[in-house]
Amino acid sequence: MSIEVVNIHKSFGAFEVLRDVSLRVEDGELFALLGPSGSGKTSLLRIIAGLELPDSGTIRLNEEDATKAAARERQVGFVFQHYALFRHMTVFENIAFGLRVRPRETRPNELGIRQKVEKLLDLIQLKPLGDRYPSQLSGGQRQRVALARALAVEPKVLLLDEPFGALDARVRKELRRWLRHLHDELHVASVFVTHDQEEALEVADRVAIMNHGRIEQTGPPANVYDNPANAFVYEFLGDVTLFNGSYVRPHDIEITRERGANAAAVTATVRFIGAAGGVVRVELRRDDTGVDIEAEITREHYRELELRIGDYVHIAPRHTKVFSAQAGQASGG
Amino acid sequence: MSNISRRRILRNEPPLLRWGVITLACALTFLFIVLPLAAVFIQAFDKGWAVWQAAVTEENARSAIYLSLIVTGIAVPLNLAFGLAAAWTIARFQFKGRNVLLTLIDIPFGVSPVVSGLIFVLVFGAQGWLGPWLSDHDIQIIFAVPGIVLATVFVTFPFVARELIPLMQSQGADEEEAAIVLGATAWQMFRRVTLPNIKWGLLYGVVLCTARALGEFGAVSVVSGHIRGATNTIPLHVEILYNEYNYTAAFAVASLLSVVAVVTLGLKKILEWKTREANS
Repeated sequence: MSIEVVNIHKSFGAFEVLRDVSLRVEDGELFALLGPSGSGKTSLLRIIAGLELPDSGTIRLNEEDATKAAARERQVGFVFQHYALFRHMTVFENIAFGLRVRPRETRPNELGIRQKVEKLLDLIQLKPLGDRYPSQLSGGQRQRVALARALAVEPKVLLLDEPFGALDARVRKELRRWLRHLHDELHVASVFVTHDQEEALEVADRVAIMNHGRIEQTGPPANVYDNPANAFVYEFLGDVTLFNGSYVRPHDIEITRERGANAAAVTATVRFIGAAGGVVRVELRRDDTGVDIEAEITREHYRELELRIGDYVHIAPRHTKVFSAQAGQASGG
Repeated sequence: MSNISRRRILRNEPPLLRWGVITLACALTFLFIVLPLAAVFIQAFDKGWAVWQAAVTEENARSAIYLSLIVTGIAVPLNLAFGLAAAWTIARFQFKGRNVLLTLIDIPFGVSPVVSGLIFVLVFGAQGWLGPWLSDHDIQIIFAVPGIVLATVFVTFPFVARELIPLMQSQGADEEEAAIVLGATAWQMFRRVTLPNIKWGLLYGVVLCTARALGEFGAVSVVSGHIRGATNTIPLHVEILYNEYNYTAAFAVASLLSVVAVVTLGLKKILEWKTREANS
């Protein structure tokens, strides 16, 4: 089932949350809305779910106009940022909720509900915890219960608001891989909101980068990373350092002992070395302008260079991007 | 941080001062709360069980108890409904005049009960704004049961709303939204999600509201007219007995209200504990 958002505008008082936002999510696609806080991504998700009404524009679910449809009629699965599990219900009852509130004609019988819930408990690997209360679960477990609860009603689309936001780094990584696999089994259109570019780029089929209520760029992760539409996208998708007025990724700064062929090379002093982790982070200060520059080099290269704090080195950018401030157009350099 | 440092300062106080303050607090509590409460029961049973029983089952006393129960029975459910509606409106919606509404709910707490009573006399009394119209239609509000109910509803209005607003605000609308997205109707959402989450707070508000409705004196005194056997509530009946130097009977009836107070206190503690537990 597809999701289509057409020319959505939304304001809260004088504050414009969404300005002319349009996007399309295909059936089976896992789509990420990526942006800093306050960029309007959660508002957009809530409008798709029907929890918020747009000032103008159209929402189409499965090619049908759903703009005026009430939230309860949209058959949308929504996973809230803080899970919003029903605190007075057991895990089992939480998951069963969507089935129990159905009108009598479509409500499964008690046995049907039990089977369905147990299947979902199995799916989220929490079968023995059915009679626990949400307060007795860990963050990752709550997250999975919230997901199972949303899936119980067999939603046409799945919407997730910062699904991993409240979890610690390790659980986060585990869960997002799990979500990716789960999504591939389910074949629904899923949209998740995140402010973590690594998460969006790793998990999603396509990403929309939002800023100030607008979509800056949409595309597959590799595309937006390699061909950012403007400076904002470039900066948001990874670490950036400025070199003679153009943007460079820290891993595109070359450090050499000897002056090379690169005409852009300048001399710099090593100020700090962060050698913990897969790459070595080097902070340098240019000798000519006194501007600080960040570089990332491989451990191998670091050992070859035998870098020490205070060393004089030559640095040069391998690739740079120049964005004209007005048009936001990119040109390689 | 500040908590720790404050405690440390306290520990450094000389023991004499510390024990002095604790003794003073205990003495004051005993003198002004425990002693008077005990005095009520001692006086009430001064002339024995039979006299107490006679005083609380005598015709006018029975009528007063009956009226108090009727008034409470009407006022509490009404304020339960009003309080829920007001709390819902304030906790769940952002609108112009929200703060005004919040302030208005508190007015009965800020205004002297006597003034509250007078307001109703001014509006519904014979010389009041609606007086002529009411007497034309043969409707009596002041010096009758409807006036007492109105005054009681007014005075006890904030209890339920005041209890629920912070509770509902702290719980947020997330669970309710989750219920709606999962296909629940508004009523299903209220029955299955909102109500279970606020039930202890709601009961707490109802307990306080009930205690106040039974015990309200000032506002009811102004609108009741003190007609024995007809418009006297328990507190008014106590006053009449006292003014007639019928001390034992006055204290006997007063002991009923004191029992209500003690029971309320117990329920209040239990409900506070339950509310905290439910929100932990």
